[in-house]
Amino acid sequence: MSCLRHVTPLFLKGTAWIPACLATAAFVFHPLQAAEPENSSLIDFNRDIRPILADNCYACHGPDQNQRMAGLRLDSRDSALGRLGSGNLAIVPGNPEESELIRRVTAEDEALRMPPAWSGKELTRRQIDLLTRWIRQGAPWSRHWAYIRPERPALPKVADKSWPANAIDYFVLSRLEREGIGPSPEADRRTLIRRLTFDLTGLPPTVREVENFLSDGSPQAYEKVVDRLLTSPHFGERMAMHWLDLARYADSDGYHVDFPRSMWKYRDWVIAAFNANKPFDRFTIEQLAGDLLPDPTLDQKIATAFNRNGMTSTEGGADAKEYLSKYVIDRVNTTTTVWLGSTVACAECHDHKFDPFTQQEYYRLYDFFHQIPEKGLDRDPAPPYLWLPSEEQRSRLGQLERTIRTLEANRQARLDMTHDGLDEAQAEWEGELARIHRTRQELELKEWSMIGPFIAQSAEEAFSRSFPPESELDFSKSYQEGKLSWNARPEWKDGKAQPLLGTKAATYLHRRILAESARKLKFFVATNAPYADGLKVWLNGQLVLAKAVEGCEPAKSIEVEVDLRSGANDLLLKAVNYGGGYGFYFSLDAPLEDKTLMQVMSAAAKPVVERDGAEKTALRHYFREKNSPRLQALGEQLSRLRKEKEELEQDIPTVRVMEDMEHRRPTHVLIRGDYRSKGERVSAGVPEFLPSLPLGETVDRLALARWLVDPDHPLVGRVAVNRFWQLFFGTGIVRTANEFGTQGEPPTHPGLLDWLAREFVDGGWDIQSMLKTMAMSATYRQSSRFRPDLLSRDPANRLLAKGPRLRLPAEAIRDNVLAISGLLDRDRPPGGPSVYPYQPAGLWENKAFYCRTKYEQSRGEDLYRRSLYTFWKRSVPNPVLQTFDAPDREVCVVSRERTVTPLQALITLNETTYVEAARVFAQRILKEAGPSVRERIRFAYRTALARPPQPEEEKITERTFRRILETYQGEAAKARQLASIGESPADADLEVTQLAAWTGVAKLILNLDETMTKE
Amino acid sequence: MSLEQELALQMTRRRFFGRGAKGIGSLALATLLREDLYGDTNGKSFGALNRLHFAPTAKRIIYLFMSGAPSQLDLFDPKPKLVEMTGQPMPESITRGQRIAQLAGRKLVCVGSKFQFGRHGRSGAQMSELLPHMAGVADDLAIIRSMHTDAINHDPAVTLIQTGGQQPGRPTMGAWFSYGLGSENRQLPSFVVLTSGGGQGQPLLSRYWGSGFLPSSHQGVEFRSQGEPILFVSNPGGVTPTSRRHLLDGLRDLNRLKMDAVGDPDIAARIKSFEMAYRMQTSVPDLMDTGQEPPKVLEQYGAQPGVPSFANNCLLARRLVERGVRFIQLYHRGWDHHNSLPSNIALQCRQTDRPAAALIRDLKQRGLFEDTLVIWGGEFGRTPMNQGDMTRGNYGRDHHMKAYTIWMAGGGIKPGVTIGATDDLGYNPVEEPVHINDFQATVLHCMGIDHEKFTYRFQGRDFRLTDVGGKVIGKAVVSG
Repeated sequence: MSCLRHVTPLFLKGTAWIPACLATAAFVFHPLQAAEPENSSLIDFNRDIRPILADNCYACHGPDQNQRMAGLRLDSRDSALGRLGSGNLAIVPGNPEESELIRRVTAEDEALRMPPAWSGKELTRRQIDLLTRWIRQGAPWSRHWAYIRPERPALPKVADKSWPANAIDYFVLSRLEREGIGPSPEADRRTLIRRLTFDLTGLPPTVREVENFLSDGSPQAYEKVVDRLLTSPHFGERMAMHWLDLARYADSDGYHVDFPRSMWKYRDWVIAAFNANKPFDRFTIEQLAGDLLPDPTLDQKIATAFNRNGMTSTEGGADAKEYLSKYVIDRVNTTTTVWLGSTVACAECHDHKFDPFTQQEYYRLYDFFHQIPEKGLDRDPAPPYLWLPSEEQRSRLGQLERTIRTLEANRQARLDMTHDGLDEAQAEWEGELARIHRTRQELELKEWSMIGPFIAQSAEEAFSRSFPPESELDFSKSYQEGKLSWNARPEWKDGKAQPLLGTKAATYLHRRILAESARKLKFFVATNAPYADGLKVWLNGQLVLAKAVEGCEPAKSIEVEVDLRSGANDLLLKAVNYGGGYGFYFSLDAPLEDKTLMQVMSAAAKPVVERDGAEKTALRHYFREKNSPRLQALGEQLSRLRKEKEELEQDIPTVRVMEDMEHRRPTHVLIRGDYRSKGERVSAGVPEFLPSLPLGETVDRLALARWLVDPDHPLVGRVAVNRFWQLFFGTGIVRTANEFGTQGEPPTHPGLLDWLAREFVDGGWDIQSMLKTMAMSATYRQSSRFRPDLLSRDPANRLLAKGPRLRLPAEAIRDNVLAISGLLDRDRPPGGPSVYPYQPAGLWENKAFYCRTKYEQSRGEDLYRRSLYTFWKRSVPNPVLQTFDAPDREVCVVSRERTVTPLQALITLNETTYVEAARVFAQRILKEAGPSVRERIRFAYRTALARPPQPEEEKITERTFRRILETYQGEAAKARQLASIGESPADADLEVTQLAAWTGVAKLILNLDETMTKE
Repeated sequence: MSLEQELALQMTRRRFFGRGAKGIGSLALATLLREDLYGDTNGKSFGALNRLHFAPTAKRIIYLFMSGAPSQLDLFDPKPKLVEMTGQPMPESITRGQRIAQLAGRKLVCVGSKFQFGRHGRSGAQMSELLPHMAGVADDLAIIRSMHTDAINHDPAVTLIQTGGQQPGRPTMGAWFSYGLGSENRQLPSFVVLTSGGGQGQPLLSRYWGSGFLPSSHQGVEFRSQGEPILFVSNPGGVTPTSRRHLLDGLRDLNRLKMDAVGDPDIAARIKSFEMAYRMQTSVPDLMDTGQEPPKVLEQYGAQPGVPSFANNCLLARRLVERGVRFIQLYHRGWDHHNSLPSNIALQCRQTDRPAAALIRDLKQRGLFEDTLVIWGGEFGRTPMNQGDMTRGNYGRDHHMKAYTIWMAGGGIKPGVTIGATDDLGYNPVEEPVHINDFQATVLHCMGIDHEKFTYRFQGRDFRLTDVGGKVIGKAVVSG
């Protein structure tokens, strides 16, 4: 029995009794993840009893009033001790024998026994024993620990007074001493500075930073490093990596087409806020309600983008009301997860089954976020939003607008000018047009006929394959079992596009042209496809045009000139669809895209007297435009400026923000969460089981935000410090960092959690100070080496008898190699728009909605920008980050997984950034280290790992170098090929086979487990 | 104990903690108490669900997803009454208060199918002339004509059928299986995604094969038909297999030194990941080379080696099944026929009918059909009401969530049955309505899993693929 002592009920949920003999060393440590060990006899309600009741009973005897049976409620003491409808008493304090609860959980008769068989739940003997002892002890009750205001506990007593460096260590050590486990020694300085630098900036330390720390003999050497890193501009970037997961920040809409959106100004705000050490209470208020502060600053408004980061849709046929409701639900769920560390999402449809949270209360929270004047299916920038040009952009835009206005007036004046000769010249030109028109009358253009679509497996095949009409022009024939035959299309008019059918299909179009004599003929053809299509043209069996546009390139009209023979000519066209829609266009006058020319040509074809005013102006302007060098120059200048203005407008960032409507929108409970089933009307408010809002104040988002950061709030401080702890140690003191309710795990060190929470809140919500306290602890500074004595007792390191050894987060994995190689510009100030690093071709385009998305890779420095600036496209996440567990940011994520997969190995071995970084690192090795192989290897280790290699490592590395070098001997071409990967040019001074071999060594070191790990 | 054994043991424990800690409780405990803790060394990595709830009838799944939603009324569900009423208004008694997508606010007019239906096989299954090849395997299918869903737009509807809920954030079917059952082989992922239908049509979002709140290692791995089959699977230019091997040997030795020094089991996992990556690099090109198939097989599918198509993907699915991949998800786009439905659907069928039928025949011939579950269907159906121009046999159909058709076949599915029926106009199911969650429960059932017992605790709640619903379609399964 003793080895099962600490097994939590949660763990044994739904299992049959497990004989103690099976409880081998293999899993006795598991309970260490949960509560502190129970005192031998005294039952603690929160630790021992509530989890049993919550897990096995609350579904029917809990907070959800619609599911409650027998009128019994076991989540409240009053109800649990009250008389039931049956006259029985579920719990008689002090008397388990009289308690119906004990009778029922021990009933022999399956029909009476609780929990019922259909629930799939079963109590263990130990659980029944606990319940019995608890009732015997008087059934003491207390509220769920997380809903009680944390009090600053006294520091626990410890035997080894020399170990603790600060308060944290008393809590950790006292627990370790109780378990009879000693802490680990302090890690060496190289490990410490690397650990700290990754934790506080997301980057590795530079060689110089390591040297400085090693040579600093002062007692404050370590503290100086902590202080330096906390004030580094990269601190904000590192903290943003985490906060952006919580804020579900992304650069695209998420739903359906997943259009891009401009939100990066919010990211800048987050980075700046952490760098300025904005206290967490203000950080909270500004993000939730900055717009409602008195005279809010622009920055305070930008901060509210927090709750506009959710996914939005633009899908045709969608009901805007349904999506508006989804957006509000996302805000409620995100806000409660981030600040209350609690999931209230289930109350969207029904009362919470385990926590005292009703559906009505869910919609009271909903009401806070329901007041935004948004329409539901808007494209970016979806109002309300801020337009945020830089000073430079603003002045350039004004300048452009003024210049364009002036030039346009100038142009108009010139177009209307008459002076000698010009009108005559125009008349002459019109005469020429009329002549061209007359020569067409020597032609007889017969009606079109068509056949198709001929289907192929692929568009390429449809384009290249020769379907029957290409070899025989027999209009009486039909093909494909009679499905396809020639059809006349007398209704088709030249100059008007006609739709065709089929994807990956070809349609043939034919017309006969009778010419009085041999002559040339020019015409325009098009498929009228937005992108990607194919066209072929034959005249009298001779192929005169074959053109295919692939991918998402726009398809344009093509001008074709053919030599007609005297008499009958057969013009055959083949239009091929590469996807999306397509059609057919033919005109003697103008390309499909040139509406002006079309208008001019049709005006010119009319006798002068029949032309209306618009037609006359069209001719006049067109002629002047084409014949006046001044007007031409003006036109060109105007279109250049208009293009610049358009591009500038696209570049000017916007950001979606929160704003409340003047008249509040009514909020109703949505029955079963269905946006169409409105229940009772509710007004904004907070759940009853938490402190109440101050009386007499306006109940709006600002009130909600202030309520959250009230120093007496039981959850917010704990939830925040727990996440900071998680940043350093990988796991929170409450492992379920996103669930502090009854279904979450209890804290491993409850006293420590409360101490940290009080310290944080009472100390003015000072984030940097909190992180410093953690970093200064002896607990944090321990060596992370695995200990045989812990492997079986506490492999997950929940007791903290050693330091954290964790794979780096996705962004840091990539940033690390960029930094080591030197590709990363460490001095570049934080902030700015998103960037587009290398990505395999077609990743966005292949699955996009009708080519509505295109990846344009960055150039130059932006290719090597820190990963948190990578454009975050929700529907196609960047594979380099996603494979290392970066979330797609569709919803708020509190803790990332840390997986190990072969796909990760493929990236670090083969992806362009990594290959280029290895080569650039190799260039550094060759130029900056001494000439011998050993010196170079040592340089490489020191640069990448902040330490020199061990002799054995040196041997293996050298052996690998020599073997790889050998494979490049006499293979200069291969070496050059390797050196050419990536956009940064290879160093031409270096011998190329040497460079290739050292690229191999660099890659070897960049792929080491240690390189990817914070030790 | 050898180093390898030691590592395997540690890894097993690690996995256990990684998952057990998430609250899968008894299942993980069962894993731990297994006799052979060295599952990995046999080339199998077991999943969280080490013990199935009952004997499975299927070991793997090929899911042919028809993205955009094919018209059941033109393929599987003949409605003579609707044909008769073509051009007449849809009775308001049926449509009042119903959710309507793009037709909202328009005149609702009946439109029957222009295609001829016939009865096929001994079972007499009904299919239209658009599916001549599928008609030949009619006796192998369970056709479900009474499917209904809760979402009326593509994105939420695909999310619902793949994850059990419309809101993003949950794992897809393939991810659940990868998590629960692990992988059956050492060189390929357990959940593979293949897409076809060109660069056009309704978008495919990576959420449709995402792992949601499960570890991201369970998300579907896309095998691409253009470019590298798996992202980054090829050595970079100028790197020969020999120099790569040297690098990997050095890396293994250095990582082992580290493992000995610090004892972190994650290092063992890292070492294995590089070896598996190496095996993927050598096995994937072979897998993707459909040119190895005899011309007869290629002809049967209508596939051409190197030409991306649904046919090629069906053939690849069979090759993946042979190599022990657990869940193969095909997406074929282009079924969203709001306009010009007759000609467009005929084209789609010409691309999909033959390969789907060939896949069934091929699996049967190789003895794989009896334990492979094949599923065909879209995210919802199409309206009996016309959308767009209605002239000369031309019409279109809007999204319809109340009734549509899918089919299932193979591994434990009753062959030659048609389940459920819709009313005379094809608007609502009138017999045995099957909800999306019921369909999911049935798929899990075939794989030996009780959908109510296969859960994952996230944010304090035990989530399942079937959300809060789900009932196995008794008539569809052999072991009902």
